[in-house]
Amino acid sequence: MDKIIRIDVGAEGGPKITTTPVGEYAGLGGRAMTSCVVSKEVPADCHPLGPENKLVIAPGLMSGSAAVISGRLSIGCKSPLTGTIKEANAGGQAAQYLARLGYAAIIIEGQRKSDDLYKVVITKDAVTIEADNSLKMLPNYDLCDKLKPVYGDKVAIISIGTAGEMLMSNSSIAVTDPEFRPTRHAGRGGVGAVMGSKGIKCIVVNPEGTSLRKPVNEEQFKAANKAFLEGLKRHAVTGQGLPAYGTNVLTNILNEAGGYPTYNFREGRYKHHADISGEAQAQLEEKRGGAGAATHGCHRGCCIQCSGTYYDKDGNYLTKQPEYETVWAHGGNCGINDLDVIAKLDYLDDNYGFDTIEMGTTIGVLMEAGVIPFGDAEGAIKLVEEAGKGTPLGRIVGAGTATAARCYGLEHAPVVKGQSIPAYDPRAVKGVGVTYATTTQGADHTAGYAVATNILGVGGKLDPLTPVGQAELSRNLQIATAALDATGFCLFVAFAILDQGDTFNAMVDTINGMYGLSMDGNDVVELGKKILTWERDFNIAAGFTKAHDRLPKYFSREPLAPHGVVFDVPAEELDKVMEF
Amino acid sequence: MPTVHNVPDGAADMLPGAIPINPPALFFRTSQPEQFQQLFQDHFYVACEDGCTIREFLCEQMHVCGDYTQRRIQTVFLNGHPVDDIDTAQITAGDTVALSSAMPGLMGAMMRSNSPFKQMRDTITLQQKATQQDSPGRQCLVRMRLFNFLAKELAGLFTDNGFYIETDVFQHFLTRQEPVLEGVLLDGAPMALPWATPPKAPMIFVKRTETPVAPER
Ligand code: SF4
Repeated sequence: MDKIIRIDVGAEGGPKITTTPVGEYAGLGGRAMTSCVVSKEVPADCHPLGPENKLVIAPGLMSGSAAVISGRLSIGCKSPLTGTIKEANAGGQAAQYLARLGYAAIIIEGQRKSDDLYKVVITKDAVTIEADNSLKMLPNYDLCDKLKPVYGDKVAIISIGTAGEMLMSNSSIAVTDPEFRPTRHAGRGGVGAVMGSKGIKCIVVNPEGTSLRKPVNEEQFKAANKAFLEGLKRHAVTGQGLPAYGTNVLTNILNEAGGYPTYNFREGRYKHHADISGEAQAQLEEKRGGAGAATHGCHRGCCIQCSGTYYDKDGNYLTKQPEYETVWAHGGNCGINDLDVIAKLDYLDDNYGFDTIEMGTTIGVLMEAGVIPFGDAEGAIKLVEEAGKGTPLGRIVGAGTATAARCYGLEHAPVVKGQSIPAYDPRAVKGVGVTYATTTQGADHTAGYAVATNILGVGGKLDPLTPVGQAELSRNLQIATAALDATGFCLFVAFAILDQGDTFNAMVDTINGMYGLSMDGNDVVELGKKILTWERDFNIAAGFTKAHDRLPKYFSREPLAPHGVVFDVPAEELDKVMEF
Repeated sequence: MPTVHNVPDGAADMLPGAIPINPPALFFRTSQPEQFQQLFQDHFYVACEDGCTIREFLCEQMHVCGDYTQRRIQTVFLNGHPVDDIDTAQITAGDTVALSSAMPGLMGAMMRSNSPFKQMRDTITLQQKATQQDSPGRQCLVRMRLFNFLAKELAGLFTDNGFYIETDVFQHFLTRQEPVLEGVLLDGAPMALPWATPPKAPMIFVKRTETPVAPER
């Protein structure tokens, strides 16, 4: 990974591609790469859809190697949804292929000069770009169907659907999975609109003729990778829970805890939760059968395989197994308790290129506004279709939760910095509320996800018997997550590395073996801090202050049933999170 | 303070915590008790000694003990409050106890008993609740929920122990899941499921037996 592809869409005579050495960005991957490039090269005060913004696509540091579960792709820019810096993360095959081709990043920049829509093709021998207006307004699945006869299904496609083309603030970038389906999305923050603003519809990544990246220290790498794999298999969550039930296994737990946002965050429990739980989903998928039904990996080399494949009652492919956050957003949050409907909504989101969380919360807001009633499954499907087609109402839907609430005069917009709050109510689990409020990304549950704090020893080891401030906990989690996001390892390794010190060490040693380094936990912490500092400085330059690091006021005012709790973490405590 | 008698989802009509007197009793045989997992993740009821701790309830009354409790039951809720110490958390009539194995993600980590992240959910954590049971030691009814692997792994034990369930909820379960049950007896009389006319009583007692003979309950 020693090269960068730069695509200047505004060059004289048409878009121009340059391949340069990685240079000052050497040693960076994933979120470290995207956030470093954006913070250095994008003026923080630019309009996200303007010529000054750049879209950065970067495989993780370990992608393309034989390291297990290392195929995550980071996509960064200034976000049209939040106005902050953004890193959105996806699985799929593209990270592995780009890394094997030797590319540490693709940077798309400049101002498009025409309405033409472009297709980029990356092979071992060349990177080319050509206008292909026959792809205009194709949803993602149709796009893949059109590209398959030309390029085969052994390539990876990075693409936008109609939402990205229409520059909607809720628009994702899709990445194809091992079955060549556009099911994996860099979902959050409207990254698809930035790709659309540059006039790029898709990037075809062809790995033909490449092989796995070679580690510097092969023996160390092999031994560490084996131990890492063994640790992930040994742990009850990564070895059993996630493969069997997927992330949706959290539905029952959050509901029981009274932290499952229901009816646009009005209540903390959903009475039909059991109908849409991970347990019910797994049972249904097993009963219906089909390839990869209940257990499936979003990219080759994933050993946890938290995903699955959702078939309808007649055995026809409907979508990939919807994740917990998707089932919540379209399910309990909207009062919809039919897994088939939720799967259909997931498919439509993937096809048009919408973030499922943002779409579900937007529909929740529209339900509260009375546009359609809570529980109206057909109405919800129609809203997503309107958005995918860009009707006047659809434009509001595709603009995201905050805009939809503004259009209908609602205070109840569950957003931070313009991005919707995901599936965990911050009044019941206030620690996660601290992260929602203070992350550099807008409300994002994954920003403070890497529960490796104990092992990393950030800010001292955590003693379960000693109360630690919410700020400190959230800060430590955000630092650990930022570092993990740079590696290309999936965040779901977090559980095993929290519980099993040897698994954490094996993970770090895998990186050391790959690059011939001798990093330890402290270096990982330093990397995480560096990333957060780039991101925070960008946001400050973009005009964000501590006043933006807050939850909407109604979370502090309106108690959440059943526990009757409000979000009561004081502003001073929130302000301490980024003090490091 | 936790809400002690918070029993939503179809159980609202019954007197919280009172064991039904002579409810219709359904007995059956099955080699696949895990067929009940969807019911168990929703809810069911068992008899329990009023005022006992969660560990006493699980170990001494339900026979879920030792290594299994330690290793497998990683997350415990009492009336929706995460429990950090099952040796001090006491159950009183009408309470809801929910059990789960380890869950993914930060949220999963946070909800675990004695998690290093328990501070992050401290507003909902179970605080020591005052024990106000009328007659400590008497038998009362507790609402149970078993999630994920536990619903599968403990299904045999809880069907063998016997459990109570609202008749309409059980009817819904039978229609939706169509479990394969043999030698079914309702109050001693052979019958085929799904039943044409469900019993009128609001609650029934359900138990797996080795033989189609009504056991003691
Ligand atoms: S654990 Fe799940 S999200 Fe992570 S890489 Fe594997 S399939 Fe993808």
